[in-house]
Amino acid sequence: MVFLGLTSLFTDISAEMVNAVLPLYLTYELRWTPLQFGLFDGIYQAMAALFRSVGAAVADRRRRYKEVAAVGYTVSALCKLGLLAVGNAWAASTAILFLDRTGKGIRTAPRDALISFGAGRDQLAWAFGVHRTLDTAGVLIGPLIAFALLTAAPGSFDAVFVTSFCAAVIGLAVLGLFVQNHGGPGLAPNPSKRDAASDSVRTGRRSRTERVASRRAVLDLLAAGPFRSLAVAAGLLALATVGDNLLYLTLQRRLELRTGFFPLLFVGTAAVYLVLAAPVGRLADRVGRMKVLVGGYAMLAGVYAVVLRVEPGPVWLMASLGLFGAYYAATDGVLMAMASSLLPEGLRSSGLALLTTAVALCRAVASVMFGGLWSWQGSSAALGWYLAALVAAVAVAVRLLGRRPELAPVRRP
Amino acid sequence: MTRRPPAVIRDQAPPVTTRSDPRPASGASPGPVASRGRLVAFALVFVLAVGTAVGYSIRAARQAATTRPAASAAADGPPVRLDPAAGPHLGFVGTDLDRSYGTLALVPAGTPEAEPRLSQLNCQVVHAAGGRGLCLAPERELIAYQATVFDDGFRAVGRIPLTGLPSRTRVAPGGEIGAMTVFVSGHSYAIAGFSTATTLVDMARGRTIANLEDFTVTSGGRRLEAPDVNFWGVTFTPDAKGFYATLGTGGETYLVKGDVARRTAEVVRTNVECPSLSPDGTRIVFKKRVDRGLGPVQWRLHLLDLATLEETPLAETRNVDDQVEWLDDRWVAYGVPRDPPSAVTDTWVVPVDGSETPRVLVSGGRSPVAVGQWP
Repeated sequence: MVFLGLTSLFTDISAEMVNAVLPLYLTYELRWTPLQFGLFDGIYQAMAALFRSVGAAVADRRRRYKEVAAVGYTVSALCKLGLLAVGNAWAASTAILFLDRTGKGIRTAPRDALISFGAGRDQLAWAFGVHRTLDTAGVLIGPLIAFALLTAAPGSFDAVFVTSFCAAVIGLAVLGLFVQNHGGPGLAPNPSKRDAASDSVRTGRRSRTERVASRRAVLDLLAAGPFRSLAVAAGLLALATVGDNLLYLTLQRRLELRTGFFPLLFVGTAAVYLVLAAPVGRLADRVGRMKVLVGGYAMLAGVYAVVLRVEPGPVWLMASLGLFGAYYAATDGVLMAMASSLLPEGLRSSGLALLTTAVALCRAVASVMFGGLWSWQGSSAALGWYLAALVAAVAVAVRLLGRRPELAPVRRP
Repeated sequence: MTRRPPAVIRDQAPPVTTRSDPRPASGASPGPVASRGRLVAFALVFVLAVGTAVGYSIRAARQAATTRPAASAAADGPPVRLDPAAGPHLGFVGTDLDRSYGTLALVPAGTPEAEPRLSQLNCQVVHAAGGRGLCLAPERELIAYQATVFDDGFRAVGRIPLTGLPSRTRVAPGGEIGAMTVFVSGHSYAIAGFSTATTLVDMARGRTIANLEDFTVTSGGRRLEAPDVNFWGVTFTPDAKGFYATLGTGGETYLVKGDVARRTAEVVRTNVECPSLSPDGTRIVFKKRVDRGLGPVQWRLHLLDLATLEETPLAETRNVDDQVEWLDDRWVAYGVPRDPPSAVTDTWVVPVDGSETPRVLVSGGRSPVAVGQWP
């Protein structure tokens, strides 16, 4: 998990370097209108979600987690060189950026599956926590490198892309050289060595019955059992979650912060998340992941309450960001750990992708509804409603998950 | 769910048994982690990658250092002035990839094809009126942006840091007040889409006086509150007390009429972007979105009569993404990229009455601004 974490660290340095300068690059160098940028951003997010389940399905079916993840990482790395090569060509740059997102989508679920395979059952949350810490470190370091580069070499986006590519190559090398693959019970024995790329092509041509069967197996996970309870609980909790940007926006308005401080809200939250992810993961393994997950959402409720009562001042700002970072630490990796402990190996990647997609979908719905409530009744009322909904969702989640012995605390011997 | 038959274990990567107890991964013979060869290979990749990144960046930094002085030494010769006595001029930002790129330049109104006189200012967008101007540009390092308030000698009298990419700027006809719009685009993890921030500037003091998002907006007498409210493209009334601007919310754009002193704005009309008020204050030229559904965004310049609220398209049939500049009560100027999305933009003019077709006024210039009294 440390090696996967390091892969993510370098890959996120690479990705966030480009993401940080993307608005500048697209509007200043490529002269996009902000409307095009907005549309692009939406499709960009959808792209990752779409390819997440594709990557997961291929990884599960072929039992090639590492290879599928490697394809995703390689695609993204090559895209950085692609950006360099096409220069100011509008259509080509757009296509490459979409391809980059595709790579991210493909690699996420197999990577999370590999993290779960590499850890013992009683260390799952710790493993995800360590991974998320390294991952978040990359997210924070990337933009710093990018802006340092642009300070040293004004306007040279090419240097940013080259450095980003090099970081991605290091991440890929860690994955290829040190991360252990996982072989286990698979659907289709495939003794010949093929690279994962040709594999995915082959999979596309596989017989229809086999694909349907596999898809049914994934959907069967939702038909009954503890995984369904977990998915329903996670979905309900996500439905009561205000999107990050809207929460930051509310906070910024209520604290009367200057818009220039906006990125600091993100950085503050990420810093807390980085520090807490691993220890909170360990705590979850010891006292029970369900308790910590529910505790995380209680902290989110705390964020809402603080933001509702907040008055301008640094103390309230730090309280909100601290709680928000702790909420992330207690929920993101812990949920993946809980799901991993419930999913059979052959469906690990697909199940995780399914859960992630369901949660993302519920969050998107929640964001749209929050925006609507805000327009209709104002930001305080909207936040009040969400606080009530979150408390209700936590209560339901406790009932749903509490009955599941599979999710009971795992005590170390 | 069906149980899967066991797969053949591949020789390439030894499988690790799922550890049910925290016991080191045994059985995985010389595991990948332990292999010396892999460590050496990684060290090679690491050194090569870091070396490439550092080497390339140093080269880029050196190049940037050598090309910079040439650009900043663009302006030589006598300083240009916004002096009304010098006769009407057209100011614009150079877009040809030579030494005039990004520099605010001036040509006489009568001979726009003349060799432009270059100012000391580098701007992305610029506007000036009444002897004062606003120049929005990246800072030297291109990592942040700032607005420069300048006087009639193009000397900086104030600087205001900007919180995003410069988009539009306007100065009231008398030079009392200015407005600037920037795109605030957040972190990839934080924000989907874009938002804008529009601030009003006290031009005499060179200070921000208000953010339009703090204004009370009403639509048909009802107060409008939404998280996604954005303002852009301000144009001031001749008395500098009022303004028109674009308000965007819920995917729709509106023309609003604002009151600077009372901090209020009232919705006037839909589908109006980047309004520009005529010198007599009776008409507005704006860009109207005409595309439907998917596909590239298309805007057409339209004229709006504020008394009758009657709209007529201008004779310009191309897609125009600019806030036009009125040269007099009949002609407007605006930038059109030469072959989109080329960085080279030309300034075109067209009469608002539809009597003539557009023509190029200045080749290789954008962000046109009328300086002095045009005939």
